[in-house]
Amino acid sequence: MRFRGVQVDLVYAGVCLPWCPTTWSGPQCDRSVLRGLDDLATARSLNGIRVADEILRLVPETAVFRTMLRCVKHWAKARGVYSNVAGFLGGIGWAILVARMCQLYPNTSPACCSRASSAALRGGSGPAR
Amino acid sequence: MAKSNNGNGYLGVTEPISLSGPTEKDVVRTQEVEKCLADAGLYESQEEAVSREEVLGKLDQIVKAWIKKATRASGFGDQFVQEANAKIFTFGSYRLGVLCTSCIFYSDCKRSCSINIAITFCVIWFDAV
Repeated sequence: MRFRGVQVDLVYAGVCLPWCPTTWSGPQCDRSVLRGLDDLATARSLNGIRVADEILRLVPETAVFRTMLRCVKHWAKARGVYSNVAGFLGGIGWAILVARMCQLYPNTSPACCSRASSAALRGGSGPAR
Repeated sequence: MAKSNNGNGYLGVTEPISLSGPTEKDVVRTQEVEKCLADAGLYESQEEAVSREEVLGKLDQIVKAWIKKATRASGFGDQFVQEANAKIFTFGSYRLGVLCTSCIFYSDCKRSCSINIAITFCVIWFDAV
């Protein structure tokens, strides 16, 4: 869907609440809203928000994570291995891998973390240096 | 948001591999990486951010007006119509903070797609049955 020239991916989720309070901050702070959602599509819609917040909560340095994720995504698109539909890792899969590397090397910089990722992928047994 | 660990003193399921910080060479390489990302158009410009915020605000108004209209059409009383509400949440790359204006697949028509932004979010609505 395109709205005023902006590409928008819009999904819908109905929750089992009498009404939606204006002060409600979302399913990431109130997991009880998942109760009663027998529809698989609805739970998946809500999980998009919850997964993103959990990833941001579990990385040591958000700015490093974001820079590295941009770099990795750009590399993956250039190599043609960025497509969940075609069987490769999609956006969330790459984000989870990058978050894991940020956990293993919490004090490093994005460029060094990229090198550490290469070492880890090659089966390195210790620090990348 | 708070960086709470899993009770074992570190983020993630295992301890970090290396706690050393970046060296001076790593800092230089990080600056080079960030420059490459900026040259590739992977950072959002100010006017695109403003345009996207306007689109989000407009969609929020549309969704709130729609939910009140749908509640009234369903035969609920004025109190329910007043309480009816819908919320817009972001997810995916927008929520992770790695939103970019264009990807490598659109580089050939970048000039004509200057406001081609991918925004992903979902709408949550109450299920009054």
